[in-house]
Amino acid sequence: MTRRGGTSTTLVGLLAVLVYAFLYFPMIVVAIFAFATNTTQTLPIEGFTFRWFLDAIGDDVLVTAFRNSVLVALAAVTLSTVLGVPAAILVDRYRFPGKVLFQKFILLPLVLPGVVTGVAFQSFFLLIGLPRSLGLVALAHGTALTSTVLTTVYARLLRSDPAMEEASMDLGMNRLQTFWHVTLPGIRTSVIAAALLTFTLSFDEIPVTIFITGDGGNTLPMVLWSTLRRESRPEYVAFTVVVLLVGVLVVTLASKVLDDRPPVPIAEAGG
Amino acid sequence: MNAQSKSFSRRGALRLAGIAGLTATAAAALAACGGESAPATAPNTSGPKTPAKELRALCWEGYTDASFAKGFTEQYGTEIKSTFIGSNDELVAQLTGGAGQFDIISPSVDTTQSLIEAGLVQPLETAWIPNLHNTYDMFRTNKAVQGQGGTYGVPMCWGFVPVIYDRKKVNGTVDSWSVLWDKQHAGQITVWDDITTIYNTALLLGITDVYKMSKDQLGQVREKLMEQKPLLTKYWATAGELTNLFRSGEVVVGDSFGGFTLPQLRANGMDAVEVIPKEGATAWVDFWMVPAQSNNLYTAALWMDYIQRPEVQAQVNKFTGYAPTNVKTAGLVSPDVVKQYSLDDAKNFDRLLFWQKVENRQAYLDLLVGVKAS
Repeated sequence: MTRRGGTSTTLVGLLAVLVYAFLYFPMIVVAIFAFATNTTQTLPIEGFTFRWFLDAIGDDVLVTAFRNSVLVALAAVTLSTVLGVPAAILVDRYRFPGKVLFQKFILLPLVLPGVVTGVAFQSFFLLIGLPRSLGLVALAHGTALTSTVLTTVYARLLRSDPAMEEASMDLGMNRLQTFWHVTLPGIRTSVIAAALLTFTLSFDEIPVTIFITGDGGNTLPMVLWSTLRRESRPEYVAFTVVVLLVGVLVVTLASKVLDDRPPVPIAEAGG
Repeated sequence: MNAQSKSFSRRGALRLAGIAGLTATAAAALAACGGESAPATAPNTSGPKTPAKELRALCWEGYTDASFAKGFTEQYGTEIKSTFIGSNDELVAQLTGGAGQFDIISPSVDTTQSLIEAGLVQPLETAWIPNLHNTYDMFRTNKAVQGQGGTYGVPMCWGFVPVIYDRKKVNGTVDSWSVLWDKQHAGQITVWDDITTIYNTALLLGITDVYKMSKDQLGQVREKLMEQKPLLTKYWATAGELTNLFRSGEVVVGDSFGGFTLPQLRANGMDAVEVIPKEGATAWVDFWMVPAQSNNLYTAALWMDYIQRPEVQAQVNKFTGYAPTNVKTAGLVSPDVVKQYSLDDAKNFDRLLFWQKVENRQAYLDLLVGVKAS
């Protein structure tokens, strides 16, 4: 390696460290304060304690909200996967009248601001007379996030060879068997990636949720958001750290499962 | 209480969303039900007179906390299901969108009047709320909850917007809003990122009707705020942030909306005090109200009466840090709370201007956004 290369490698390394520091420093600060005895998040640190974690786990409002968020996210993942994967296959493998329009419409939630989606859902559910509830939030998240699943899975489908499926059917398998044994294994990692992304997006969503939840169905971001107004409580900081750790764990596991090829955005791939 | 931020933050977006939601849902509601009935002019007492199994609340976080609400559930067997809001605009948007899905709501005093005028809330049967007799008159007879049908709201808690300062760092007597313009404290001042900052500035300028300012008066306020801007550390947005700013020593003087900021600072050894300036101060109060479509007026009244009990008001103060609305609660809370909210010196209340609906609210908000952005 030349001297020049060495310098640029060091430079890139330094830059990387700076970028990571910029991204992660706020989270590290939060994590430190979660263990501090301070009741407000200000220096100096007066001491260290696990008390806030115990308080957080004992806080019914927080725990219920966390449970609500997880349930909504799981339901949203299920719904968006069930709708999004077939939609991606449809768009990639078939021609049908109105296909271009279908592609554009299904991607709308990606483009629209969350509040617009939220208001739209609110008006729609009101018109058809469905009472607001956490179930509706799951339904709305699942529907809106279908576009995310579609984009991710479609990008992978573009790179897979339709000839494999033709061969499968030539050899006597029906469409369902072909999907199960040939198509799905080919796009497996992208489906998992889409599911994880959907889970995260649903988990910390506020604007859509606020417009359609009811019946005491507060999600975790809603509780944190409405509490912050009044005070910044140490047990909430601790709870955030727990959620952060779970998130890191899931992402680490996922990256082990997934390959490292970056997904191609649908617009770039052309349709 | 109300804490809408006027910046282009998530809060700002939500405020816009509230307005958008109100428009969209009002249109949808109109399309859905065609003929609207006129707002009630008397309490509708035809509903069931036994406690309902469930009371659905749309309220600020903490306003139905188990620490004081469990007594209600124990006595009446009524479960309270609360959906939280982050601003009054959200509340209005949710209410117009989900008419009939909530039994109690907790709007702030500057929002209640609009709700009454829009027919979104129903009048209360005050005979069912005997504890209202011990409620401070300034809430009981507040015009913002009075309408054709009588009384529409029962207060939950309240506070005023005082000057807060660190006595060790700010010398001399502080008795005027002008301390927030004092060059001695340049770089150590913070003010609320809220419409209230406009009211406070107007008070300093000697404007009496701060909720109905003319274009000219708003111009004066703008000028004064521009003069203040270089002296500020920052505009604070949440109470937690305000507390942290004082604790870290970044600011020595500012304004607050009551609550836990003062007790937390004092508990941490800081000699902080809150004062009502001589020019007066604005005050907020959140009311419990019943949406027009709710069938549970009786159970809602039971809740309101329960909340007005002196001892429950003390528990509410303990959890939220806000001031009690019942006269008799003053004897049940700590001397610190009595002092913070001037509960032993009711003549101070005469210097408070309770928030009102502001007709040209948008002009006020634009002004603040403009000052912050310039």
